[in-house]
Amino acid sequence: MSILISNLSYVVDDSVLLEDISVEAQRGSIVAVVGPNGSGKTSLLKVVNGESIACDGKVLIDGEDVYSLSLQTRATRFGILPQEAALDFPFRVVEVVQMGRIPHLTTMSVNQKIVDEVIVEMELQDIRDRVYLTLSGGEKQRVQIARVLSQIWDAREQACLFLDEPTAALDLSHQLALFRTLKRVTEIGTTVMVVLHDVNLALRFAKQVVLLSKGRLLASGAPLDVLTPDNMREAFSVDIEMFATTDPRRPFILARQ
Amino acid sequence: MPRAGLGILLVILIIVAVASLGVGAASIPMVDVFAALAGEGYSSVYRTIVVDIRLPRTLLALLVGAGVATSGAAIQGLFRNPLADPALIGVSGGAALFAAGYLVLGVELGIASLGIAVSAFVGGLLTTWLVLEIGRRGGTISSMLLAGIAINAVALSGVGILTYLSTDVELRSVVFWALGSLNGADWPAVAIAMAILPIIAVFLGRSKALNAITLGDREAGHLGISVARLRIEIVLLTALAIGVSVALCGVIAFVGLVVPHLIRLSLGSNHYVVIPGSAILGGLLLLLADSLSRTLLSPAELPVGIITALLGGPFFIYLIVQQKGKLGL
Repeated sequence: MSILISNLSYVVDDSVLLEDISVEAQRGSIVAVVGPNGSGKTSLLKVVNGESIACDGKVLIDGEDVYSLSLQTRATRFGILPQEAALDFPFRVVEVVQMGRIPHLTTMSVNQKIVDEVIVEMELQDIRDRVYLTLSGGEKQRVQIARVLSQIWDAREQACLFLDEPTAALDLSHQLALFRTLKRVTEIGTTVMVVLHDVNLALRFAKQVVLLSKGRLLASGAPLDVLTPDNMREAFSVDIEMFATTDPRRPFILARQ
Repeated sequence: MPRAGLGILLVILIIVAVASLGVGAASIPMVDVFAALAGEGYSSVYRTIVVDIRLPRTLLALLVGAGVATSGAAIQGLFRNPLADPALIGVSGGAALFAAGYLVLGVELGIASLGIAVSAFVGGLLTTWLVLEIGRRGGTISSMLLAGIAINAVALSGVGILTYLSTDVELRSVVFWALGSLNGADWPAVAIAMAILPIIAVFLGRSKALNAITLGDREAGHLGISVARLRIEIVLLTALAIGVSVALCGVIAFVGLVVPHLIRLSLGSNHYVVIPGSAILGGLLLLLADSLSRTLLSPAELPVGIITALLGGPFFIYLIVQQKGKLGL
């Protein structure tokens, strides 16, 4: 699905969390939302997926106002991963992944097939019958991502994923595996909006980077055009150095002492 | 596995239910129990004991145990906290306060027991709503639970004041309300307790939504669940089930807390299993506890709440210590 955000503002109790943000995301792209703590990344995700209501501006999903979409439509087309999950009940891993199928009216066998595919995709086969509460932070994160994927798995041509710091607890190999998965779903047509703290992941995998600072849009566009030393200094108040890697289009960013 | 577990529980339930008819101050052989049930009661004493006294008491224990345990399961899911229990968070206390208040004020609205049930429902509803509201202001689930504990203490001392102020013979002792007892069981009570069955059916119908809400309110919303509506439904139904139970038997503690835990630990957390499992095991445990309460000091009777608390309290502590990680505490 394509996402068009125009002149979006979001105010809560007199504090302006987002101000006049305009971004366009094409169908099937990975859009990384980057910025310092408190810059409005999570708020942007919430307003765009229709969970929080903007004070001003518009969000169009495939040309349709996000607030005009029914709860059911959003539940079957949007996969939303929160920053942290609150699950405190001893469900098994496979049961948590199955919860992604709750909004769907598909048959049990279809659901089971989707859940099995997603479990393989997220490499959860070995822990599928473990109790969720006994897992490590990274494992829990991967289970939650699998749940969100199973929610949109049969609608990947027409879906959006909103992921808030999905890589926070993941080890290096699972970070890469996650982005390989995201690449695959975007190739089919899913649009991914993902909040990232690791600018190198954004640089490497995003088609577009949205850089926020104090609720304002500092820059938006191709990763190398956005993650420049000047922009990074303005957003994060740090100087960065860029190192060449084997891929000339993908340098490595390091904050200087 | 879960389905087989439910089947085994159900078989045990039926055996214990039939056996309970022969147990009590007068021990009746099984042959005579069946004869009395079949209506071939040449001995009318056996027939009176089995059909008029013990059968309604057994049915009431099953219904109330099932109602209290499924309410506990549903409210634990809704509050996303395995410590939520209608008796602990004040729902039962509020219901008891209003039921006792109804008796003291002596309003006559048709059948007395129905009037008590209605006031208990209103009391349960008010306290649940109060607990939810305070919790929402406090912002966390722990503040909701702590508020519930405080409200429970206030409600139960209110019951105490009422029972001491009143000379009304109808107002049974504080022990009845605070500890619970099934000795008021008769067929009209069973008829009122039947209201619990459709409530369990609705709880079961909300299993999917209850599963979703364990992920969080927002997350349930993302899964297409209308959380506000679900909250109202569960609160209303819990107040109704607890109101009916308290009006008929007083506050039965720990069944609503321990039973859903036992089911989760043995058969998993899916509410499609937890709700029916809690209904069966809740009925079974309350029936066993009541059979004990009738026989331990026979011919005298212990309030059944003493037995459930005596068994439930230490068992729950054991669970907390043993299964820390799994319980999500």
